[in-house]
Amino acid sequence: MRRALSLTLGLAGALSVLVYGYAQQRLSSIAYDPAAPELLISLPRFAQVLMAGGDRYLAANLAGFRVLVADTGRMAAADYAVQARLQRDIAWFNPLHEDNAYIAAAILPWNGQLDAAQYVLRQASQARSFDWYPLFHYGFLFYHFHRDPATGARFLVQAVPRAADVQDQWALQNLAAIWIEKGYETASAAGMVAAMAAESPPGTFRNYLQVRADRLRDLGRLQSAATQYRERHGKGVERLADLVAAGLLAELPQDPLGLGFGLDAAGWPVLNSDTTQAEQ
Amino acid sequence: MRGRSFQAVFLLGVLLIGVAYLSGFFSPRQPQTVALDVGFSGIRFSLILMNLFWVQELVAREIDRRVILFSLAYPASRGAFLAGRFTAIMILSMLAATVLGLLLLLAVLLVGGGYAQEFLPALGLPFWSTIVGFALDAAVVAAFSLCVAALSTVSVLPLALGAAFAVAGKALGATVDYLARGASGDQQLQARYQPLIDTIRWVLPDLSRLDWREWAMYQLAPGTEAVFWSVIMAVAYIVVLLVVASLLFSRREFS
Repeated sequence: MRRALSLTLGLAGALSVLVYGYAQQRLSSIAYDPAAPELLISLPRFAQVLMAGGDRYLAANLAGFRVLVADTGRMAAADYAVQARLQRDIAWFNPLHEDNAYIAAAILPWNGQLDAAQYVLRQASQARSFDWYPLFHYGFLFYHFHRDPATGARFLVQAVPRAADVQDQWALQNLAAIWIEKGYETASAAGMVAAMAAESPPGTFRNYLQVRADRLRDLGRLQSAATQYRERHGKGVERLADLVAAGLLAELPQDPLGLGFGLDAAGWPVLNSDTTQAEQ
Repeated sequence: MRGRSFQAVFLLGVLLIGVAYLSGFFSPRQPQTVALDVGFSGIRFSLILMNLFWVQELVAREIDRRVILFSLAYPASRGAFLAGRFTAIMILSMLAATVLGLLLLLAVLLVGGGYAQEFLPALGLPFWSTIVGFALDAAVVAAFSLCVAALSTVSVLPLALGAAFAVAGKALGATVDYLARGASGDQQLQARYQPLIDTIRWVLPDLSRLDWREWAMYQLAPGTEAVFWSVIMAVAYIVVLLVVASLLFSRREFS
């Protein structure tokens, strides 16, 4: 009886090993569904807090790590929408989170998530009462994305008392005056994004910002050339290549993001927002 | 101290400090602050787990193994027995908090790879005040767990209910804040849960009030009044729980 039981158990064990091996073999031939692993889902805020053991600061950091490890180089529009939701959540869990405000300013508005960037920076501006950067970036959103230099300058002036360094205070006041006086200028926006890159530690994030700054600087060159073309010929350019043909540019700038530059209906050089618009 | 569960949790605490150190490298602007933030969460988690395991080792398991009968044979009241165990747990908890705090300080000082962040964390009094807040938070959880142990006939129940209490107490602040700010515009949710949360607040202490990490991380000191009443709330709740525990324990019959 005992021997029969041992034999049965042994057989059951051997059979299980075989079934397990066969199942593993079948599974290895079945591919996973394609999915963007870093930013697949955004859980409700309360679920995120519970998963962090009730600790909202930990919830902010866990969501923050997801944002930081996401590869912006291969993200689609839907991924940026999830990133925007995550960053809104982080701003709610811990509005003082410096990285969140900084990344929101650097990435979200450039990828169709202007509202989320404004929310994050507004929260950070209120919470980080000792820091002038969130107000500066918030003002920049109005300057560059809303083309509203006056409102942007108002936030720069609000940021002045927060700057501990007198040089920074002067720089903010000076910039506010320039914005009000000259209105929007692409080259000025490029300079500010380049300054953001210079303040970041070396690495992927700094490179990303530098690419954005280079792209804006090249757009500024194109717009400057387009202005000269209009002054010289009394009409706008029909194709960007006209600027090279007219001798205003040695060659068309190569966009490091691959999206390229285009012309709006009025013949004014603009940034393409997707590859289907690329003219180069 | 010799319990394997304690050693495992303490090791977990040290490991979490290591994780805090590494997490600092994810941050582009504030590596020391992020390391401190994650480290604080790790210390709070470890202290609570350690306290729960100590309650289980020193009270629940003694009841389970009937060893408690020898302890109760001494000429001391059952209340004094519980108070003694609770005091021992508090001393151990403070020791563990000091060691983990020192390790976290070291990790924060070393993190960053030479990058000088603009807004430095405050690693003196604000840091140690935060650690004291977490120790007090863990003490409330330990007192709750002790109360459950005084009544429970299942040794694992104080651990499980204590952990649930720790999560609920900590999440209460975020929930109250969420509802107070309009529940993202969901008026139905707010109408349904606001009365419930208002009632729960009287029974369950808001443990997030004992979290003063913003002082150490961003040099934003909490209001003196808020700290004072948070400490009073926690100490009073501990005393209430210990009194209830000793009343339950003194009426309990061991067969």
